Amino acid sequence: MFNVEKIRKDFEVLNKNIVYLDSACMSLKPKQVVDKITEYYKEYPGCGGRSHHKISKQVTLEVENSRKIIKKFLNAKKGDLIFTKNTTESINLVANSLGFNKGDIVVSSDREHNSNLLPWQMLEERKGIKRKIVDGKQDFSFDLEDYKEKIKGAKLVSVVHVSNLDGYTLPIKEIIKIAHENDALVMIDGAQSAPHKEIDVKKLDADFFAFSGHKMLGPTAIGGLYGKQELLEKLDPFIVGGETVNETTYDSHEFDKIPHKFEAGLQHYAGIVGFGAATNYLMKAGLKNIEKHEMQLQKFIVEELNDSFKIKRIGFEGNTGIFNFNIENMSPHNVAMILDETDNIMIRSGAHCVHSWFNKHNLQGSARASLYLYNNKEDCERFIKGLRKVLKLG
Amino acid sequence: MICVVALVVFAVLAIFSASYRPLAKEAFDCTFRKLTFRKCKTNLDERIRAKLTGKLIKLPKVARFTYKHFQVLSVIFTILFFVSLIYTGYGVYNIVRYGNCNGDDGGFCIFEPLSVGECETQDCTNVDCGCDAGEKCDCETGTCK
Repeated sequence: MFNVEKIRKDFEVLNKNIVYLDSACMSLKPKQVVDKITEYYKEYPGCGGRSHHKISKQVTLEVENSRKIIKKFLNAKKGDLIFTKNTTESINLVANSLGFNKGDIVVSSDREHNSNLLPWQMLEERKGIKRKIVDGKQDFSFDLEDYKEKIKGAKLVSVVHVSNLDGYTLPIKEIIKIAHENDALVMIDGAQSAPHKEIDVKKLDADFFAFSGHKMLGPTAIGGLYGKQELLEKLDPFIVGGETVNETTYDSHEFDKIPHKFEAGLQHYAGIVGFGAATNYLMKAGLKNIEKHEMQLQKFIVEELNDSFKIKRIGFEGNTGIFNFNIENMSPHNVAMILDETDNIMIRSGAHCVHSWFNKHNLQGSARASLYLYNNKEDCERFIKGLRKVLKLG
Repeated sequence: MICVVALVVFAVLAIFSASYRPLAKEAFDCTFRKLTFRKCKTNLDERIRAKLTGKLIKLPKVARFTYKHFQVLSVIFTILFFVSLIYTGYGVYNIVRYGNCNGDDGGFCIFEPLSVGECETQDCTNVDCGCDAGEKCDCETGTCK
């Protein structure tokens, strides 16, 4: 049974009388995750996969256990999971390893995070690939008809699953189905979906799925890239060095097997074990429960603030977990700073790393409140009350 | 506008505390950009505005007035700041030149040291009154007996 009050007790920082509504940027960490990270540093602070002493073996065991947990979380029995620094690195890995040539087409949506925009812009400059961006409809939803036109001849579709802009979920199943019908591969930017939705890469038939630990209760600087086994086999490693090879001579090398071939250098072991603990925590709470909980809170906020004509919602309406808005005659930064100053309400303001979308719509930015499993109705009430005070200023 | 005031205030504070140095740097950057007719990139002025409004939010009318007219208030504060700076400079000049911050006119001057012979407290000493050896200071009148 999902019990938010019980969950809140695991997040010590919430005792500081704060309302944390910036989970789309960074989630808070439960004590189970912090304890697991501390356990690494206290109990087995060695390197994995190299030495043969007890501590090293323990590290290897814990790292592989985390990989197993996360693969289970994604239902990724057949493919493999590569540990990366975050979603950004995962996307860069695919962009730099898939072997793009001049004229190859990459299709994206019009609401991509800079992490899923810049790698392709760079490839366009360096290798001459072509980028196609699917326009949003008038209600800001994904235009499948436009997509069907732009997918023709594409090599890869790289799209966000759940937008960090407004929480909008793209019709990912249809996107993948259409891409595969057109012999294109699909990479999903799952940074915002993995923390909030049940992910089944097998059911989705995703070719690549990139995600970050820090948005799903895990530590910073740890993320993952899931890929279908046969595709990962074809990828050339992006970063090479220690741990990626079995053998080297002065003139040659023999790469290790997947996933180690892609995990160059000493890994962020504390992060990996913490990531495993975070994933376990989410699975215990239940992703469906989390999604339902966020939807209820979102509905409450929207209904309560519906009467205010000064609040302008940004992006697609009917989304979950993210309340993105602007207040008439007020800068979003001011809204965020005043909420923080007066009531310890922490929200994000700015372009949320989706500058391209804001530029397209001639907007300077917005204020964004993002919910997660540890937020309760009281948080929302405080946010609404705080926002009403701010509204009086404008 | 407020960045100019912030620059001087933070620059002084930065002498004593390292934590104010990044703020002083931001204020300098902001002032420099304003002087060259560019937009302040650091948002320092907006942060000051939000911080100030946040502090005043318990007084909604005052907070609203401050928020709405922040630019005007900034200009007023900046002018007042420079006026007071000029007067201070003038006072310092006078005290160096005439030994009194009001110049030739005299009168009360906060920078002026206490006159010899005047006692400020009942617990005065011979030195406070400027008494010679063998004399005793009358703290009531500030004279030597």
